[in-house]
Amino acid sequence: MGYFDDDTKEMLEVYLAEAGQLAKQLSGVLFSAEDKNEFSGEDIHAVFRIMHTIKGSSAMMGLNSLSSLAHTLEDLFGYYREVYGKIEEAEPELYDLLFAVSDYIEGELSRMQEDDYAPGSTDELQNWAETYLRRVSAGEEVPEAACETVSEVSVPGELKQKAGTVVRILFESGCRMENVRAFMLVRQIKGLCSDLETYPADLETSKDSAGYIGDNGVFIRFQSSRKDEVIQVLSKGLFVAECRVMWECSREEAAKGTAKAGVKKEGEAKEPDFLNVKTDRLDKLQNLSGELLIQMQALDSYLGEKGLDELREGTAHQINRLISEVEHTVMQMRMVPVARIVPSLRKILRDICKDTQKEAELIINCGDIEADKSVVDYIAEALLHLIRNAVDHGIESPEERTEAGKSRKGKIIFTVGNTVGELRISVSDDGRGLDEEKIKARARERGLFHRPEEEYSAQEIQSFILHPGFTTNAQVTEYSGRGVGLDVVKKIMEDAGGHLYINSEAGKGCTFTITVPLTLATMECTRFRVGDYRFSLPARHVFHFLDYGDSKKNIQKANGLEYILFQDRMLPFLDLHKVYDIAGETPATGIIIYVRGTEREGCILVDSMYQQKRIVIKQLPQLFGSGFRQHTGINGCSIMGNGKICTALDTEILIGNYIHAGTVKTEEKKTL
Amino acid sequence: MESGHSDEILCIPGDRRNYGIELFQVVEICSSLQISKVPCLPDYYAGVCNYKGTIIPVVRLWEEGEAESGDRDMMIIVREQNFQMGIPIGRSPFIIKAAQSERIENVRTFIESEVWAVKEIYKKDGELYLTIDMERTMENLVIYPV
Repeated sequence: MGYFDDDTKEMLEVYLAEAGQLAKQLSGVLFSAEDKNEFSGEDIHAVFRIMHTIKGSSAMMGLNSLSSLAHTLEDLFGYYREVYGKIEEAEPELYDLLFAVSDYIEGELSRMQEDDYAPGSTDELQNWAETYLRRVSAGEEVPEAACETVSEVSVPGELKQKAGTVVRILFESGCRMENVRAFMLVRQIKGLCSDLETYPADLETSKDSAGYIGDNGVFIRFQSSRKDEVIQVLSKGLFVAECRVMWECSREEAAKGTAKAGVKKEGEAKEPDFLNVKTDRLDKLQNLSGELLIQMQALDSYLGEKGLDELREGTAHQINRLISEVEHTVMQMRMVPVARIVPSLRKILRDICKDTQKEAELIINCGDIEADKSVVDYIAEALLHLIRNAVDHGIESPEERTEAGKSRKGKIIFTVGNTVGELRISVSDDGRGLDEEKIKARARERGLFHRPEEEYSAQEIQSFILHPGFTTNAQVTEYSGRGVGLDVVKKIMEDAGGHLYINSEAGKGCTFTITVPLTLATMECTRFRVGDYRFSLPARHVFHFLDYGDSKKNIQKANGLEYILFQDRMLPFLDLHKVYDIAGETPATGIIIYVRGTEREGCILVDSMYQQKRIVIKQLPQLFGSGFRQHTGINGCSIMGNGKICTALDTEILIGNYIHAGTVKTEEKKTL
Repeated sequence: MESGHSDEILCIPGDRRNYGIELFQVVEICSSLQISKVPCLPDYYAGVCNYKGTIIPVVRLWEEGEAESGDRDMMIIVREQNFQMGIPIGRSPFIIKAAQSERIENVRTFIESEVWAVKEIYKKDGELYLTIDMERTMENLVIYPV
């Protein structure tokens, strides 16, 4: 028997979705406030609103202690809102309290669907919140708050009756002749406005208005097609301390009397409707659209074989087009901003900095890039490890940094970019970089060198840290030393069809770059045949096709490997008959495909080409083992229209393995 | 039924050796599933096939050519925990009851194949049936564990 009764159980799904979103919003507000070192009026209102909603919905679910905790925090932020308006340089304790509450809520939400769920105790948090509220409201050691020099004044009623924007202008204290200053401001914007009035009204002649404006500011109502410009002019006016939009009202709203206060921009008023959809339903829809795509390719192939061209080019073509649209729409529905993982990165950074007593700031260069939800979930997990690793191994203590002539606070830069169909994410720190000597020593102990050490490139040595169980930390801490971490990142990237690259410079820092497809569901692929085998490569890696017959003269052998002269460069030449030991030889009519991945490029020789298609990449059977991709350069399968299965190749690993095999062969030759 | 054990055995007759699979591990018996080749697979893998939208490996019970004497083109789909695979067969399988068959002792001394691990051996109507230990077999089948 679970905690929730039948009635509340029915509401649990909705509660979890809503409270989950609120918890995320809360984290977002907290990180942004901590970054700015200030709770703006909007931030205070947001926390108040979040707590208010959690209070109500939790009470409805019978989660009384959570409701009570939210109520106390609602009171706290209600107090801030009414008394201070904003909080500058809030006490660290306030952030700690709110983060602790945020963690508690997230923890509870993650357990609520378990059969044996029982609410965790809030006693400690409740006590903390109440004590804090009492202290703040009693005025003891009140955090330095931006007490406004004037009392909160609402927009005068007469201005609310008419259409337009109402702003309130506060002048710097002691500027004197506030009515004249206001009059001059109004003159400055007159040419930009179609309608304009002020409160107090008679600015130029009424000296009494100076006292009112000094205490409360001047209210200006205006209508203008260049609203932003008007606000900018007002903000930059002489002696203007603050220009705040207090009221917005369209002509229709003015007529109906339905205007609302707020500072929303014009564009925000037309927000589209959103609907929460369970992810598993989207997953199912995506699988179905993928299966439709496969079946349609089978039908297309069948119609072609039977010579039913009229049907193929008519109805079947239309259905095919519609299926592609469905598939594309589903893909778009699943796209989420990569920036959604930023709060959790900030959270882990905050926690680990606190525990390791290091200082680091996270700089986000994320833009509005989107990727499939499952891809974002994959990379979120990987990035948590990378951030932990950056602080624990990379960033030095503030003292060490000062001694090394660096700023006390380390920098971790999170950058997201996208190329065609691929997401490229990097996490760079300005710490000490990888210690190659330590890595070598550990690699020696573990017997990871398979050829003379001095012949390993810096990148190959750095890659040792991706081996399972590899650690250079003698001490086991909460965050590292167990050798669990970067191998997990590598595994996650492999599961998502991506790659991980390391670039480190001693004393200057380390950059981990991950590349991963924007969506895992379907991929535009170039497909080809070699003997009885079918293969595909991501179309985004394919740049040129060459005739094998014409290019034979450009193929050279060196150190047991074949190379081809292409655009004045000698590139690895992979004859897949030889690479995969496939019977037969490529005919003279064969095709050479020039491919370029993130790090590697080469030319691949194939027997013949199929049409380029958007295909569903299916996972390899589990029985092939987790090392299959790395050993073979094969990373998935797809089903062709004729029912045959096409092997998906990983450009980077395929070329990497080929070059590596060449190196091994060279070594063998030298030994002989 | 006891978890992980079945009284019913699906018997697969062969030319030189007969195999048996505990019935609870059989997902389906399909006909005419198309097998495609994938590079880098050991010889005992016949390839892969599309089983209801999932790509599953196809593993030979006998060495290549040995089972071709049958005239049926069928595939037994079996599951062990998260692993699934297809086993092509050339003759129609049938079910026997373990309780009604003679259980042969000293299975451990029986020479196992490189891949197929044997759990029990039953004798029925003068024929021996080697019941596959699916868990150990699946472990043997993993190509690149790391």
